[in-house]
Amino acid sequence: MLIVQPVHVLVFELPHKYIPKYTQASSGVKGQTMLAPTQKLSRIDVWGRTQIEPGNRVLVTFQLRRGIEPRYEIASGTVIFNRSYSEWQARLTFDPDIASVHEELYIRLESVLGSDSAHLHYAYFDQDIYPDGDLLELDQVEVQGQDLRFKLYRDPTLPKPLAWAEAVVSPAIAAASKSGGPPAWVIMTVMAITGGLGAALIIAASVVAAQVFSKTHRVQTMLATALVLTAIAAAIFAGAEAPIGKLWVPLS
Amino acid sequence: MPRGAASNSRQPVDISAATQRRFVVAIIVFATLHALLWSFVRHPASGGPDEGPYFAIVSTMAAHGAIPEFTGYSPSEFAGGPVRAQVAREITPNFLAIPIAFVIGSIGSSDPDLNIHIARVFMVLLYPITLWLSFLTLRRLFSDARIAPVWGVAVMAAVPMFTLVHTYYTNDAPAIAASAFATYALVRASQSGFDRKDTYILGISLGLVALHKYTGFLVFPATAAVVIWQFSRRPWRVIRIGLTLIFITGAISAWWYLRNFFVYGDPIGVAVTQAAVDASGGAPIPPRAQGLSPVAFVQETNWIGENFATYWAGYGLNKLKLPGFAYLAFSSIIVSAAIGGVIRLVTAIRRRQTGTDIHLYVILAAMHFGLWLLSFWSSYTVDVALSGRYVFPTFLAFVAILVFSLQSYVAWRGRVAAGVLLTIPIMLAASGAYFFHTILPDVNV
Repeated sequence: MLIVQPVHVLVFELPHKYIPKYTQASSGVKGQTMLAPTQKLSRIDVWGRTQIEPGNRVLVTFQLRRGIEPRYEIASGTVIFNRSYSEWQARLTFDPDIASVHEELYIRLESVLGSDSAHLHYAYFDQDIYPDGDLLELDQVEVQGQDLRFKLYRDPTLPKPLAWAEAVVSPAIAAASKSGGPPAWVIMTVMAITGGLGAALIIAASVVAAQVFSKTHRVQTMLATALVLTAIAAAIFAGAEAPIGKLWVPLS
Repeated sequence: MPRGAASNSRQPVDISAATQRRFVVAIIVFATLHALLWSFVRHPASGGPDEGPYFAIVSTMAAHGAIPEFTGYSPSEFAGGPVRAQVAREITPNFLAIPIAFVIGSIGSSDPDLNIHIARVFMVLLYPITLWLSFLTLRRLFSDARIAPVWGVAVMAAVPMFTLVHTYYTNDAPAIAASAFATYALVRASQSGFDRKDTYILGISLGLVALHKYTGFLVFPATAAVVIWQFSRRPWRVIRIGLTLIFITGAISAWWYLRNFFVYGDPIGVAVTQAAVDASGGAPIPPRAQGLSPVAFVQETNWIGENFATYWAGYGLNKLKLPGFAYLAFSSIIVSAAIGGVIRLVTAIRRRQTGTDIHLYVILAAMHFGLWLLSFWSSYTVDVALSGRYVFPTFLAFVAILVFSLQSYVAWRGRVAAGVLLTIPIMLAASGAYFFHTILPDVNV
């Protein structure tokens, strides 16, 4: 499933040292302004939670808008939640050519609650962490210095399978650049050797373990062990990008 | 290739010594490159706790060609904050800063950020040294289970906070390396009956420990305990070994303490630092001096939870922590190990297992938990510092006890050893995930 999943390259994420809180959204509008940090922006993730009794529902329209005032809708998509989720991460994907670098964007979340017993919350930070935008309530800044929890991704420039490598290497190169670290080729070289060593350790551990388990040189045991190890390692590394139970929302 | 893997023997098979070494080398190279990568992407001067102030000392040394003198704190430096300084950075021994300052003074740049990256490379280079010394130690302790030292080194390569302290400029990593050297030398000397060569090596290692952060100093009483334990019926031997170690350690490190004595009138620096903290005005009063009981102090500061959390990953109240399920996993392992350790110890005592290294494990455990106690006492009486990294000079001792304790359930040979081996790539993948999901976003703001 991870193999067929589309690849997006992370370009911005708020640091984990800030603990997100949840703000309740009754029927109405919340949103976040931001600057596109790169060309080919193709995905924005936002987080929320829903408490919905059986038979009830919550409708959320995710809109991507451009400009400051007025803002023009450039893409949208709607999701109907009909059960409770403790935390969902909505992956809003859109055409990578609809926004250009440094363009002001506005991700607008318009919700309609089926009844008073339905609850919708969005994850946000009650501190001014993100310097290039703000959390908006009914399309206006209600409290200064708050931000929605969000992540930004761009389209990879390389096709699969190189796109996976790009998704891993590119954020490290960007971070090293911000920190005055060495040039991109050094980062790529170190990451390639480290990744290669990691793969070699998986294979070596599989070979040795298979020999001990089967007391023979059975290739099947070795391959099965290597595949299981690779799957576990990939799932751990992918983290929240693991493809199970994800909420993909194409905006068009 | 496992020895006898293809045989039909019912004896449990073990990996060969060559395979063991290859795995360890691969893990150490992986860990070193991984640490190098972390050091590349962390903001200069904020790569970890107090990187900026510690690097300022190196910068001053590089610029003036001399160890900077502590002249007190600026007015109200600690006012309103939760912590005091324990020993001024200029007075705390950190010998490695001298060659680093020399290198930066010789080949450094006018760009301070680049100089910090250069200083970080020294910390990264200490990582493989510490890991290899740890392997040598664990190999001596667990000669009956070749997978055990490999797994132990993998744990040290995969625990995020242990990796992090080797990626920014700090006085922790040199103290950890010196302590690993001393722990190795102690185990080696103990196993050889403190022959002359091993006693000299131990003396040199203790001298290096004495030239670095005080958190490594519990290896001194540990050494005394091992010597007395092994030669309790030969007091002259105890005295001879003790004098030899004191002489070598003193010859290497006494100059630092003499300098402190002549410059500050205080060889250790605690008294002069506390006086300076008080003189700065408005510094927080230590919890004990406030009349807070130890229990109330723990409850108020969440000392146990915060230290446990930052032992594995992170520092400060929120910085670079792990998800909750990771701490649950660590807690489960620790509880299992604690139960196993008690079982193994009681069994060893009841069976009167002599001729084994049981006394070494007991002393290593005392060294590790003793450092936790000292860290607590320091927090309670002086500076309210909440960071698990302070006990990392005994991390090798911790890993040795962990392996010793977990082995009480089942011997790490044959299929069990293979299963243990399979956990290593998973641990390293988790460490890589931490880099990708936690270290990298931290650079964004």
